[in-house]
Amino acid sequence: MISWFSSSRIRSYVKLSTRKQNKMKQEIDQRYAQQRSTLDSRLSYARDCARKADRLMSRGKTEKAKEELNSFKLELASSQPVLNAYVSTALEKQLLEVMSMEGFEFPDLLTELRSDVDFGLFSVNATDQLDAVLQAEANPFEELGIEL
Amino acid sequence: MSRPIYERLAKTPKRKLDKLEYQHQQHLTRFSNAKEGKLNETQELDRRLDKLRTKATKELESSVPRSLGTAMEMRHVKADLLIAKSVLAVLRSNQFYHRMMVMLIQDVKAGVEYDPDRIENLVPMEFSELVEGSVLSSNLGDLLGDLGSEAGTGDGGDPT
Repeated sequence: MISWFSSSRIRSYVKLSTRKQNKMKQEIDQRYAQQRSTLDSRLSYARDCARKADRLMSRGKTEKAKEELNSFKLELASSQPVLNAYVSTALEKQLLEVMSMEGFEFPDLLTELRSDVDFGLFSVNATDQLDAVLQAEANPFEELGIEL
Repeated sequence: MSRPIYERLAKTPKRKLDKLEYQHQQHLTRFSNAKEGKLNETQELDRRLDKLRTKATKELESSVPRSLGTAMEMRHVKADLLIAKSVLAVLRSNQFYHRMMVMLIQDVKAGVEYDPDRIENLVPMEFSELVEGSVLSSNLGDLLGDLGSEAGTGDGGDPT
């Protein structure tokens, strides 16, 4: 069985009363909004550092440009845990939305019929696994051939 | 697998079968529409990612730092794309389930003999795109496999 769908928290959601479901959704919505805003601001700050480094380099101010690049790297590193948390919350938020749809069924029957059906990030359960997957899959630097 | 469902349906009165077919048809429409919406979102994210990729590659020719800024944006879009594709898989599995139920009910009503091969053949047709062209079929499949064996764990646990 796929990890997210075997979680007791997820399984029990469908059995909750509408009031409790709404409360849970509300909590997740708030967490999602907060994490998204933090992630946006970290990414935006990192982008600013990169742009500043570019301007400084074009003016020949190499040392200052290096400083900005170091700040960029710091922001990049600090944004990873936020990205992990954001992805995890976004997955849960969207899964709860799908589970609230009338007629929702867990994909148990399908996975019994075929074991290789791909449920993407729902196959990843632990935080460290999600981190490894995102480091590998949401990393554009390697794709662009940029070594940091 | 689906034989117990088929056998249960075979014992159900016709009026109840009609009602059940109608309900599954409604659910099928609902999940098909939701899947279409998610597909559009995925395509939009793909387009955004392509644009950013082109921009970053162009910037890379003149300035690495400028390209880094765009790459940060790509990172966010890539993560959103992974989320959308994962949710798409869940919507597609529900669409499949209700489609299969409609088909089984219609078969029972028409007195068609149960054929397990027919059901199993339906799955690859529905999911071939998902298996071949999405997240786990890329290098993520190997990565998850490695992580699984490293952790020595199977299923279970709270994902959050």
